[in-house]
Amino acid sequence: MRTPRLLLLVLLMSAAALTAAAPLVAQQVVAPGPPLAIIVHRSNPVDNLTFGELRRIFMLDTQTWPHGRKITVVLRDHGQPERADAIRMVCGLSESDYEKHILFRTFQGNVNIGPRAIQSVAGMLNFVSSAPGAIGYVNADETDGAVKLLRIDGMLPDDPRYPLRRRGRGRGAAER
Amino acid sequence: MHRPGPRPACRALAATLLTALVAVATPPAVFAQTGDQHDMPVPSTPPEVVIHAFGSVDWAATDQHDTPQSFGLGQFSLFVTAALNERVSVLAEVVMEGSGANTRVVTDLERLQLTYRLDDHLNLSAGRYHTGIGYYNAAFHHGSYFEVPIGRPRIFAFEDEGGVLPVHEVGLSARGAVPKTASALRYVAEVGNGRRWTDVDDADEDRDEGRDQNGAKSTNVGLALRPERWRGAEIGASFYRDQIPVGTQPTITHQIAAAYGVYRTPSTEIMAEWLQLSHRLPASTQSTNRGGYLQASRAFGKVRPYYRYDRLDIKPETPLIGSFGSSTVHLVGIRLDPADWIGLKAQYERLHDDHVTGSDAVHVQLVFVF
Repeated sequence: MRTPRLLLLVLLMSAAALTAAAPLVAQQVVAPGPPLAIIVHRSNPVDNLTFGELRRIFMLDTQTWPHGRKITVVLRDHGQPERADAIRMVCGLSESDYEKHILFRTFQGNVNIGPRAIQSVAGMLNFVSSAPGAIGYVNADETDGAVKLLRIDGMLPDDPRYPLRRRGRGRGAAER
Repeated sequence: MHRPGPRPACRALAATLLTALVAVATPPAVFAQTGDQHDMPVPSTPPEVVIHAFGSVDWAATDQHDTPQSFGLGQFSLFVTAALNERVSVLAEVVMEGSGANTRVVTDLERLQLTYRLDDHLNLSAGRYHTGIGYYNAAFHHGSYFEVPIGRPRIFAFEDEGGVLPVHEVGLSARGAVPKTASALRYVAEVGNGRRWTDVDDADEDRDEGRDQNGAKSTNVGLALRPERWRGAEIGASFYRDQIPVGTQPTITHQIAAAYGVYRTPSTEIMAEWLQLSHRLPASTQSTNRGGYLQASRAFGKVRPYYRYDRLDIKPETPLIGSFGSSTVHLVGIRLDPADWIGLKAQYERLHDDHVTGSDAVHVQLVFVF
């Protein structure tokens, strides 16, 4: 048993060293960007979601609208800062943890269609305006009349108490 | 230990299905994972197929002189799921187990489900599934990437690895959120053939593979509560019942009650589960056995230390599973995730069972997903 114990000890020490040596990444302070606006198809009868309902939709815990249509969650493409930003604000997770959560739910057989990935603001608006069950997001100053803006906890993005306001660490439109 | 031998009929079916799935799935997979195409309105033609594979490479050593330290290949799980339309999806999990000494591969079809999703309150599935007994079995399947420690708790071991539970079944299941509970209360109800307890040496086993041994169906019902206020927390319970024919003897009434409490977030995992298994012959006393585990882990960046207390108490006189033995395992380890979709686990195990007291073992496992 000496060899296995030695190997285990080496592994434990290596892991501890890796942790200790991990560079501390300074938090980049960025000026607050515009709030995140949650958008759906214009025909969607839903006008308001609680923040908890929104979170359950993005986590794929809720997959159908109250009127029965399948929900299609639309996110910005992998690696784009707007994707990680929205996942952090809505789900409270890093992009990596979110991807693992989605795969875990898929592996359990609980997900029919996973989130869609969209490359641009124009693509997001185009998709949401075309797909009756879609829910997506853009910056509040990027919405147009082709989509419907949802209230979150009864508030629109111009409300100071709106829950999807960036608090100084967000990456707004100016950074793209 | 109960170790069924090869099941050629099932494996031939699995190999055929695997080949068909890969052949059908490959072109749409490229389509499904191309981000640009999602800029267009919802595509309507080919079903979008998602394919993932889970694999592992293991190394283990014990202080038992008759068991040399060894590398080994773990299960290679090929997972395929496709949305046939907005409400219907199909899921398949095919597991291939290879020998470290040669390239012989044994293939098993572990899950195959067709699911109809009416809404969040009613999802109906037909096929082969992991039973919703307790929490672990329906949460963790054959790909070991999502499991923090190496290996399943003994009570949830797979049937062909000496497991005491009906981990897999063929039948129907319904699950969803209970209305008016904001998805906090969830249910599962299953009707299946039950586990086959046919003698593995019986030459007729493969002829009847997949069919029930009697007309009585197994049933399982469960409830789980996930309060929105405590994200990641879940408590639940389930009750399973089956009638098991054993040769010419009277039918055994088998019941499994399970209760659990779980708290799982990306950084913290605390899981506790306890099961009671009872087997009763008519005009005979009931044999009651228990098992469960307590598991905890906490991530510090890429490193996650963990601990599991794993216990299974089986009385020797119990029908069907009396020879499976009792065991208590303390397991402590550390998991390192050097990159997304790759994990390295190393753990020390101290085992007490019917044959050894205080056996030590070390197990290292590299897990990955692609």
